Amino acid sequence: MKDSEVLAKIKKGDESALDFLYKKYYRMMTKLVITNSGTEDEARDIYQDALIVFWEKARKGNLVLTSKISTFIYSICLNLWRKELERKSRLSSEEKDDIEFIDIEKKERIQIVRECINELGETCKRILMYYYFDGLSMSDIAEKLGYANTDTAKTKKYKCKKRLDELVKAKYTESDFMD
Amino acid sequence: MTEHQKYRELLDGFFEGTLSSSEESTLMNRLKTDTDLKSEFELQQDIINTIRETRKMELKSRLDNIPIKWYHNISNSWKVAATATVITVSTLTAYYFINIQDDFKTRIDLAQNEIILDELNSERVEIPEKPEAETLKEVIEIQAPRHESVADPVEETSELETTVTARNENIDIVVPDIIEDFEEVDNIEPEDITSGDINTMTPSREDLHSSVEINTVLHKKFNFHYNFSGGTLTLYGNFEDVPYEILEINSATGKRFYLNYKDQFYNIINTDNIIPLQPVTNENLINELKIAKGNK
Repeated sequence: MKDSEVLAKIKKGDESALDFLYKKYYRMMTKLVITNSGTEDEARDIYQDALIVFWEKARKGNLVLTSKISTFIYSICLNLWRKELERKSRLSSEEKDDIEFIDIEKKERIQIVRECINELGETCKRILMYYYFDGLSMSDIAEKLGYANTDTAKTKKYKCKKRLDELVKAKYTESDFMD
Repeated sequence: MTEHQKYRELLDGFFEGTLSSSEESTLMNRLKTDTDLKSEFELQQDIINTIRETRKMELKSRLDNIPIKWYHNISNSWKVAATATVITVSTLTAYYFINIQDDFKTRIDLAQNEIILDELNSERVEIPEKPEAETLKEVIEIQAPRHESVADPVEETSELETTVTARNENIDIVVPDIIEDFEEVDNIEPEDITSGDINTMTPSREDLHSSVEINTVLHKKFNFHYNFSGGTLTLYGNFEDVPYEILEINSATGKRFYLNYKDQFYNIINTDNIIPLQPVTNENLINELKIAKGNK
């Protein structure tokens, strides 16, 4: 598959393009991390993150490729791995305790949101993910999920988001009360 | 519209990405003084970030389940190991495999032995291309396997049908031409990301006439497992660090497959399920497999 074909597929939201890239460059990209003090697990994680960054950029149409896709993904891997090394280095210093303390409340809230997302039906979950992560337009969402038209998708998205907000707020208040 | 509603709409617009720069700065200024609005802003930020995170995890999980074919781009040690494996097979073209159940007294028809290689450059090592029916056939009677002398050549093998007794130490073993220089194999690995289409090695496998394709998969759940179905053997676990060999043996009872890994042999049976690799425990069989493996 040519780079242009891969990009065209990603723009349509076709996840098979992601699978294709993953297989094609797996060894090449993970080697970058492994040969720079990373473990195989870290390498896989970084490569997956890089591919997802690439997916997001390509999906949102704000990607102008001036090189091969492999070169672009490689540079993302490189940046992500540098950041990870910096993070690890920071964590090994005295800042560690402060960071963990600050994050506790936020982590708790995110956990609540995560639980609420899982409580939504699969369709609601998909609509919100396609909208907020993949950046799919309402017409794309309607097509992907088989809705009659854009307005149906729009209404559905509104209701799903409202439901999620209500769930989170109810749980969050409940959690405060329990504390 | 109340003031609260107005700012609530600005908040929604912010997360939808539809605000103009002036609307955005109005909202940001308000956030500095309105604590309720700020709490709502932070909550919405967490909700949307978690939706994004959930989707990201879903995509990562999808990628985790994709089998990776390591032979696309292999390390040097693997290439050497793979080539060594070819030598094993080549040397064992007239493969003597004893059927254990018959106490080493079985007549064995040996068809052309094949070995499955996880990675191989077929341009370097060639296995004679012959239809199944024309492959080497020998009939060997063996009571106990001893030494084999190696004779050439591929050209003489196609019509060979020989009967040999166990005490006859002149069992003919046919060896295809073997390339002993592995140096250039190193050049296969694409180092330059701008030039490398790492799939270029894939077609070479097709030239092997191997009936089995091997995939290795790093899997969170399955470690040291396999499944073998439709001619595809998938090994689950980290098989990258230590070279392994797959022995494919044509015996009177049909084809048998064994994995040799870290000096131990494992049974490979046809199965659609992912099952643990079980070591061969039959001492006689292990000895025979060792002898077979050692003949290279």
